[in-house]
Amino acid sequence: MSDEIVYRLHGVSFSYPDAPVPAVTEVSAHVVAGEMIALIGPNGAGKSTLLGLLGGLAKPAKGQLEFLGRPVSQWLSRERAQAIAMIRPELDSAFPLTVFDVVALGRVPYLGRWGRLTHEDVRVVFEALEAAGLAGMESRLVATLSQGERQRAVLARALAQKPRVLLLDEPIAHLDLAYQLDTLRRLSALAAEGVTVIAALHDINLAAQFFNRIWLLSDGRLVGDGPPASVIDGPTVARVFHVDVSVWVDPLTRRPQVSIPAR
Amino acid sequence: MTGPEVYRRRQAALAAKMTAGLAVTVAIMIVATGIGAVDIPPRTVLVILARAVSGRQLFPSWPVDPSFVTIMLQLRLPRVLLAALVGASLGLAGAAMQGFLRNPMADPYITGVSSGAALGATIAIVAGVPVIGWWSGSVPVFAFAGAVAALSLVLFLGRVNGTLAVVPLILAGVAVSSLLSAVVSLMMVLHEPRLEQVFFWLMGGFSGRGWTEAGVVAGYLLVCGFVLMGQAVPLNALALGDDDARSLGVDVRRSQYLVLGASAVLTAAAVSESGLIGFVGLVVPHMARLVVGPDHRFLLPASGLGGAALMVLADLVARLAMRPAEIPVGVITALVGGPFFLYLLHRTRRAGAGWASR
Repeated sequence: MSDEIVYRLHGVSFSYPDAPVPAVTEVSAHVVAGEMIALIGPNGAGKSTLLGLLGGLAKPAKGQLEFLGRPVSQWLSRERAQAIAMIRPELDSAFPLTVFDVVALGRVPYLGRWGRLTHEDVRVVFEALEAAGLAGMESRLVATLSQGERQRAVLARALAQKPRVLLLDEPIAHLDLAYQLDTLRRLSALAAEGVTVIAALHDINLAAQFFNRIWLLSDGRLVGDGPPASVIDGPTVARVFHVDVSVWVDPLTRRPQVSIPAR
Repeated sequence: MTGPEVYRRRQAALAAKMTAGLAVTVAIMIVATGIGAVDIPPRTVLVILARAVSGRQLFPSWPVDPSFVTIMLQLRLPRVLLAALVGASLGLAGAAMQGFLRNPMADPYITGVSSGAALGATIAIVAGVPVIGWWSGSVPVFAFAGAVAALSLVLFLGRVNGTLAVVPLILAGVAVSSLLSAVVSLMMVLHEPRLEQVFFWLMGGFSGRGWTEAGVVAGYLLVCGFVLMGQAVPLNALALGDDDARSLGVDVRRSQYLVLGASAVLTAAAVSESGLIGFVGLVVPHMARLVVGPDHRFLLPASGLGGAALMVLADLVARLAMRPAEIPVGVITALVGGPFFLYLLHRTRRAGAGWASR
C-alpha cells in the first residue's frame, strides 16, 4: 500500500452563517491512501460538517485543507467528483427511479454535455452493481427496495464514481446486524484496494472493531486521533458523551468495546 | 443476456419510441392542417407543403385548388404550427420545472409567469392595445413584460441566503400568483366594456394568430430547448437532492438558474402569444414519464413532443366542436386534462410505486 498523503488538514475551522459557535474548530490531521477512519462523537459534534469540508461541499473559514496536494476548494467540481464520492443513508426521489438510474448517476462526473453513457460507463455501472451485491436488481424501482438494498444502491452509486476517497455519513444507521457486517466488510475490502474510507458512525463498538483509526470529535474539536485502543477509554468516552460507561477489551480482536450499564 | 446488453436494448427501444412519437406528432399536424371549414385532403396538404418548402412546382400532375393554398399557408399551417410550438414549450417547461422542484405537482405556471403575463395583457387590453402583433405596444409584448416582472419578484422573494430553495420558491410563486390574479379580476370588474376581450385572452387560444407569433415562439423554443437539454443530466442528479447532486460534481446553483430561467422565459413566450392554456404543462410530463421513464435526457424531448401533439388536437377540437363558433383552447385542455390527471393519480396509487412506472 502506498503511503501517499490524501488529505492534509491544518487548523481547519468552519462556522455556519448566524451560528453562535463554530461547527468545526482547528482540526489538524494527515490521511494516507487506503486508511479507514471512523469519525465518532455525540450528535452535533461536527461529524457531518467535517465530512462536507473533506468532500469540498463547503470551504473552511480558517486553516488549510489540501486534497492530493491542492486546496480542496481549488478543485473543479467535476474533477473533485471523479476523486471523492460522498454518501448519506437516505435515498429518496420524487420520481420513479430504478436501481440502474441511481447507480448510473455515479457516472455523472464523467459524462459529456448531452449525458450519453459510453460502453465503458455502462460496464462500470454493472461492475458497481455486482460489487455492492445488487446484481440482477438493476430494473427494480428504488421505492420497492428494502432499507438495506437501498443503502447498497447508494454504495453502488459511489463505487460507480471510481473514487480515490469514500466519505460516508452513517452508512449503517438503519441496517440490521447482517447488513451492518456486510457493509463494513465491503468497506474494508475497498480500503485494502487503496480507497481511503472515512465514515461517521454512531456505533462506537463497530467503529472500534472494523476501523484502524478513530477520530473522536467533541464540540467541533478533534479530541482523539489514533488506533481504537488509544482513543477509546472509559474516562474519555464518559467525558465526551456525558454517560458513564465501562470499557473492556474484546479478547478475540483486542479492540476496546464499550458497555453502558443500565441503571 | 448480460446486463449491458439489456441496457443497450432498452436504449434502442427508447430511441424507437421517440421516433414513433415524432412521426405521430407530425401526422397529427398534417391531418389537423387539412381539417376545418374547408377540408383539404392530407395528400394535398403534403403537396402544397412540398411546393412551398421547395419553391418549385413539384408533383405537377397533382391538381391543387389555388384557394386551398391560401387557406393552408396563411391560415391553417401557421395556426397548427403555433399550437404545436406552444404545446411543446409548455410540455418541455413543465417537465423541467417538475424535475427542478422535485415535485410532480409543479407546472410551468408555478413561478408566477402566467399571472404576470395575464396582468400585462389585461393592462394592454384595457388600454386598447391591439391583441395580436409583436411590435412594441401589442398585447404579447405587454404580457411578456408582465411575465418577466412577476418572475423577478418570485425569484427575489424565493431566495434564501442568495440561493434558491424549493419551498420558498413555490410559496413565493403561489403568493405572487394569487395577488396578481386578484389585480386582474379587479381590472376586469372596473373596465367592464373590455371584460369579454380580457376573458377570451385569459382562456387562451390560437385564432387569428399567424406566422409572426409562430416565429417568435419557435425562436424561444430553439434557444431555451437547447439550454434545457444541456441540463438533462444535472436534472437527473438533482432528483436525489442538492447535496447529492453537488457531490456528483453538479454546479447546483448554475443549473438552478439555467433551468428556471430557460423554462420561465419559454413559458412567458408561449403564454404571451396564446394566453393562459392550463393543464398541458402539468399533465404532459406525467404522460411522457409513463412512456419513456424519468430520465430527463428522454423525458424533456418526449414532453415537448407530447405537448405539441396534444395542443394541436385540443385546438382542432376548439375549432370544430361548435362550428362556426370557437371554444377557447384553455377550456378544452382543462376539460380533458383535469379528469386525465385524476386518472393518472388513481392509476399511480393503485400501482403503489412512486409516481408511475416504466
